[in-house]
Amino acid sequence: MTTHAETLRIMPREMRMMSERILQQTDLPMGFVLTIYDLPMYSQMMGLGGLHLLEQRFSRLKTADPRKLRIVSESSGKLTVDCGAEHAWIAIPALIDLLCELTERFGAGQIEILNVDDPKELKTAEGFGRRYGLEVAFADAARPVFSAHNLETEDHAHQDTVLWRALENGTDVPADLWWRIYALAKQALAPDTVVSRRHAGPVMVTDDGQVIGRADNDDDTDLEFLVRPKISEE
Amino acid sequence: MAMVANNATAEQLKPAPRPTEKVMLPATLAAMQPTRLSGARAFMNKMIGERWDIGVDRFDIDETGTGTAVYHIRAPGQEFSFIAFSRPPSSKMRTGRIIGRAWDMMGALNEGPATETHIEAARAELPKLYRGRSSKNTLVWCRSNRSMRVFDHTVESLMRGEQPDVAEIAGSCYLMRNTGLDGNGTFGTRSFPSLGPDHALGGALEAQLLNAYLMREFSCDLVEHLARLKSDNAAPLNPAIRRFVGVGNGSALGLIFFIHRHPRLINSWLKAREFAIAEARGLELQKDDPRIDRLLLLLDKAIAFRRQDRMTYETFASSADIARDLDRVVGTLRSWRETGAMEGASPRLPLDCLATLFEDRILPESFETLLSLLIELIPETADQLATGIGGKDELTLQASRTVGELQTLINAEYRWALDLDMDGPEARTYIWYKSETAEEPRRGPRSEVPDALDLGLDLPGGIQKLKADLDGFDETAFLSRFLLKHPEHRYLVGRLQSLAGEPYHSPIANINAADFVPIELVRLMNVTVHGIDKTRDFLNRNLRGVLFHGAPTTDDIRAGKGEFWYYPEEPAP
Repeated sequence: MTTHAETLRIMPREMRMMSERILQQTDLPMGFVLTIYDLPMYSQMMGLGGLHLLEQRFSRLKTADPRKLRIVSESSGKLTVDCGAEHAWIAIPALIDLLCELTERFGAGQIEILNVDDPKELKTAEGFGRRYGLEVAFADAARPVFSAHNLETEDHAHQDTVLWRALENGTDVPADLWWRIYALAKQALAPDTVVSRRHAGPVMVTDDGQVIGRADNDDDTDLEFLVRPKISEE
Repeated sequence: MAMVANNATAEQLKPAPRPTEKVMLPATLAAMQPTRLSGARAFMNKMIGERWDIGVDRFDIDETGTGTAVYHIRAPGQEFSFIAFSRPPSSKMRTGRIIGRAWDMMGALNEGPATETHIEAARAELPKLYRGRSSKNTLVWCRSNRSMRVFDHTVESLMRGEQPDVAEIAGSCYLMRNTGLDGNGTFGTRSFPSLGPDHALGGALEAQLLNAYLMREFSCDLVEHLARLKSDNAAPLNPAIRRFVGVGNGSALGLIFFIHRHPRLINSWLKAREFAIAEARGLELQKDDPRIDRLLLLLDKAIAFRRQDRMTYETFASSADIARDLDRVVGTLRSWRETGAMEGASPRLPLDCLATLFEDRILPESFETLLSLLIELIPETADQLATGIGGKDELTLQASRTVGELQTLINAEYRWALDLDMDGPEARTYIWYKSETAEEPRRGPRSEVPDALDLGLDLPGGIQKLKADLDGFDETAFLSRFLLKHPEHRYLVGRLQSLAGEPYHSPIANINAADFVPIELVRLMNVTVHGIDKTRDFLNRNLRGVLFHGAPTTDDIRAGKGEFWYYPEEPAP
């Protein structure tokens, strides 16, 4: 409720939707965006301030490129990865993938992480790694290293503990921050035009006023509404 | 078939669930009919079986239609409340689309009894919609509009102490139409996965379905109430008409996004359905088995329902044609019951024989009606299957698998995607996007919206690109190494791996193609998953249908009455 100290309880569905839309406005391929839009939420849930950071880093994320990551050295069970100055959220998926591989091959894995933006955000991998069956440890943002082994749990349905906490309780977000995130995310949506309005609905109105579609759709449509130059949501 | 039948065990004869390449064709998915496993039917059966108590606690609405109503809903061990705010209808900015700005009712379904705090919070926040926040105990926010002509006609009839004209009612079959059911975290509502299996509304879509049923109840209560306020001679609705009236529902392109975002749920629903059909077809029945009587009764009910159907369908088969087909099925079944022979054979599995016989002889909708009714012959199995429907949304990849393993998976399960022509001039005609207005999902020619973000899941195109990149990589390499070079495939790899071995998660279609018909997949969701009847199609992309058409009244539910409530006959005038 907006009346309580100007915080809003935000649930995962909305956090995910906003993060996804904001990241869709970057150069990142859609097939990659769909695998990282949870990370700002994990950061938020873990007390790292992911939503605020998403707003702050948006301009830098616009040119993000996960292909810049490269393995610079490896020996049994240990890797060093240069993240090409990319943000931690961009690096985490590949780092988790590599930890999964190392754990499968060697029973445990360790990755030294070089040249990463916002290294403190690497901590979100502790939460996010559980989805992949990993217990990831991360201690020092100044000299970032991931250590991982297989997660031991009998409750596989709830092993993704950060997500479950979010699903059960959501998280309180300052109202002004949330509405800025909302506005930023909305930029991913297409402008509403008279032409675009013809791309949905049981009837459409052409430029010359002709109504296309069956009249028996029962929705008592205000046809003038469909040809307004602008529809306000307020 | 008969010779094999005589030498084999019933178990050996038992048909397998239908193959992916048949079931997942859009034409098949569009033809499927509601079953005992469909949301509305399964949920209603649960309420009847558990004798839920639903009633009005408050109905403070004036002659103009302005005011507040509160309902209680008592399930075993759990109570809910429905708070509805009624408004006089406005013709301005009115449309069944999500972009509409005129609603005749807005409501909230909450956990627990309604308190004044909850009522006032909902009153303050609901009108804000996208800027509003629900209470912590809210499951769903909803909006609905009256079907103006039918609603007004019903009130006026009741005011005169008469019942509404059945022909008028049967033209739409509802008094109010759902224009939005938002839950699962939207606007701060509770996340459905957190409800858990022991929650009274913990099953898939159950919270929205309860809310939709309450819209139906509210619409009937409202016409009676308004008639009473305006006339001392007002009559209540005849219970038969009250049952006949459902709640209208409009659906469109957003459901294609839903299908792509919830593949485990879709797979789970269709798997339960196809497994149940196979089980029923595999019943070894004698001709005097009472289950044959039940099937005949249900087929007759379906035929009568179709014969009385006043709707016009654009793309889909007419109800008259379906009734005619079902007559033929009934004729064959009755003949077998009398003679023991079906097309000259004496089948041990008569229902399988019947289905096989008619599969290519009648319309797909008629055939799917037959299959849907077979499920009623195994109610315990079906209800058990219904309780297991679900599936989490997160699709997790296994990066420790190899490139070769993924190639094998793609070759085995996605041949259809590899075989589609994705380079032809009409393979990418359309773009799927969302509008800034109410986030309405839209689909249009790419040339008309050049700046829109492409949000449709191009499954065949993506798989072809993935396959090409995999083929250029060392097949013994771990996927972790492959994805380091090709991070653009990460979602798809996780999706393919998460769904490996599952049969019914992805429609076999290129949704961007010029010849793709969106309404076919909208119908899958509305008809088979939700259980909506009389779904009329508009412009190949919109459906108008009726939810809870024929559903028991609250008195019926409280009394545990209402088996086979669907396919209602028109009430006698």
